[in-house]
Amino acid sequence: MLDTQRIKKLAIVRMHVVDKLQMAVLVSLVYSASVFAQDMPVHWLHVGAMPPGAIGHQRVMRDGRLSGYCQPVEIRVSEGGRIAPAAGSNFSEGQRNNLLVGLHIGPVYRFCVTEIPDHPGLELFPTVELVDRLYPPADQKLRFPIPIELTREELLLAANGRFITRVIYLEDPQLAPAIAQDGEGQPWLEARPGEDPLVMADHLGRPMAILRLGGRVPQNNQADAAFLYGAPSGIVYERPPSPQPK
Amino acid sequence: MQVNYSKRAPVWFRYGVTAIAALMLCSCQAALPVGQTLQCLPEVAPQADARSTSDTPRLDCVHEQIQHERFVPAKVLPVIYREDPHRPPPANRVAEYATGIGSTYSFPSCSPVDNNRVVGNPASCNSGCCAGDRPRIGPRDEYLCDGGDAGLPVGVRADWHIDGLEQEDTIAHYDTVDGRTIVTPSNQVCVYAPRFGVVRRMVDLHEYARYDMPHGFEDPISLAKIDENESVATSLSQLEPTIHRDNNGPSALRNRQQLGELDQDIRLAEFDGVLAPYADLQIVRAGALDNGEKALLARGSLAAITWSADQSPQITIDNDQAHAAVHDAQPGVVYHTNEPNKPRLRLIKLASTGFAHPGDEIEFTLRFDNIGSREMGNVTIVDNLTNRLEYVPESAKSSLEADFSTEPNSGGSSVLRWEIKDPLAAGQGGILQFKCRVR
Repeated sequence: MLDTQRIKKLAIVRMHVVDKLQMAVLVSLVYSASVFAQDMPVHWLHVGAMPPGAIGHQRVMRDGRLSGYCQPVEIRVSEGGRIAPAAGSNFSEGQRNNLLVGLHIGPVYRFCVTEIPDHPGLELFPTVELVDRLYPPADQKLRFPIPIELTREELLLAANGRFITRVIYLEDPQLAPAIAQDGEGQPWLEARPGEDPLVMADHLGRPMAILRLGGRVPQNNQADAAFLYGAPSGIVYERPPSPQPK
Repeated sequence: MQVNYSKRAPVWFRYGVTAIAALMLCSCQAALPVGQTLQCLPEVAPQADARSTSDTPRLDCVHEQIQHERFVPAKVLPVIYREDPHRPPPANRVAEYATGIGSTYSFPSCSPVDNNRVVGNPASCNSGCCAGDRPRIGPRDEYLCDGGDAGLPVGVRADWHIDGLEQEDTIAHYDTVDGRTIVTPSNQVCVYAPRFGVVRRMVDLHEYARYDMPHGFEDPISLAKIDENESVATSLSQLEPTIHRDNNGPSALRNRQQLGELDQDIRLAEFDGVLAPYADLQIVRAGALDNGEKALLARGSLAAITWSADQSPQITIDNDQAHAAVHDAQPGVVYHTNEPNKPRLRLIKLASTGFAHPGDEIEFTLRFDNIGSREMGNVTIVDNLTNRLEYVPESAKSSLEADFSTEPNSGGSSVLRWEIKDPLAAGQGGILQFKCRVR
């Protein structure tokens, strides 16, 4: 009799333990789901192979601070080259060596590079897509543009059929390598086969712009709205005056 | 006593309910489209007012449309909203970022102004490119900061070896008359100096047409994306570390800072206006605050904004909680304990500019003062520079006789160290200056 009661008590205790274990499993599952939902803060929604304009438009929809802002961009061409922005259905005259232009985040802007040294008649049409903006101090907007560099080597590679993607990112100061930049050449990393340049850039800092070079040329010298992606005209700036000593 | 097991649900049923509930919760969290958007009708919310569009365009638009029931839901995009991973600036700098201290900023208009001369088509302003140009609070990754004691608190061992000195830290430690060693951090100085990098990817495109028969068909052009096989050598970046290692030992610098020469330096620094305009303040020259210089001081450092904030480092002295004496009319944080001698050291750091490009030189000024009631000895100021600041050789100056030395740190920059030779009497102070090149 005594053993029977003890067995029943043990059964009741066991059932309580099972109930508590069930609750513990349920609670841990709920919390673990929320933990797994917190992925690493990377561009998991974007990959470098997305069509031009897709990333920028999604960024504008997700962050209202990007909408309507005119981000200065400095495009540098190898010495002697001429870079011209699209104006309407054609290209403007452009400027030599570099161009300071204000662009929106989202649209894809087409440019025309001509007069490449030792390659007369060669024309290339890179595109620039901004995916983020800078927040400079007041009155310093034009002195801190996003630099985009078109080297002579890359221009010639693109002319030979290569397709080049450059993701320009803002370095994380905590991760920035201790190297000196003289302003002449922009250091770059090569994304190896199988690596996504946008994901690489996101790990190193904050992706700001995507340059695509190669691929398309306008057909029959006629107006091609699709070729220019229907982007509005960028604002060409003059060089800002040198900063005054404080 | 009898337990009726038949009234309870079977075990498999209870486990099943638990699993289904967990599955529903997980699936709801992962698949719910949070970022649904509504699109305005063009006739309801025209884009003419570009500035309002840049502020909160969609929220206002949606609210207005809901009230008037004149909206149509656009296609719901599978966008899941995530917070920007890059943190905004600290709360104590929000006011400075938003207003732009010391600037005469005016909101841009569509008409060209002097600094922002527009050469291109002015009609582009009508497309909204001039909107959204007002200063906004941005992520902190565009700034280069130095100073303070972030992360692990700095501690000094008996042999004066410093623990917890991380990059960007600037501290001073000194010995009190009763044999204790106390650490005091400086304020933090941030300079706008964004730097960019590039990740490049190159692929080949092959285009071909195929003719099978004279009356066959032409295969449409197809693109074959072939990853370029590159050797390891070509995939290396063009980064060349240029780490500066100062070969000058302390002895050479000590020789340069002899007593007679330093006497002249003191006069020059304090009375003859050797200090640059950004540091030519009463608080730097003589250690006393002039109310008229508060704005200039705030411009060169974080000033009272940081020093009154909760984010300031927590200081303990010999396991006793140190109290930070903060007042609106007093720059700097003074850490002290309720001891009879009340040791206090104030360390202020200023930068010569608020923004810089790679290659520019920035001059930093450190002003330290013994504002306690007793003298202190072995005063040592240490600055562990961040990665992107390179110390300019032979640029360190001191108004007091000091041993100066540098040593490389883990990030490829330098640790600067001044050891003040003579004890610092109550009320006495000094100035340290050095230059750094932005990488």
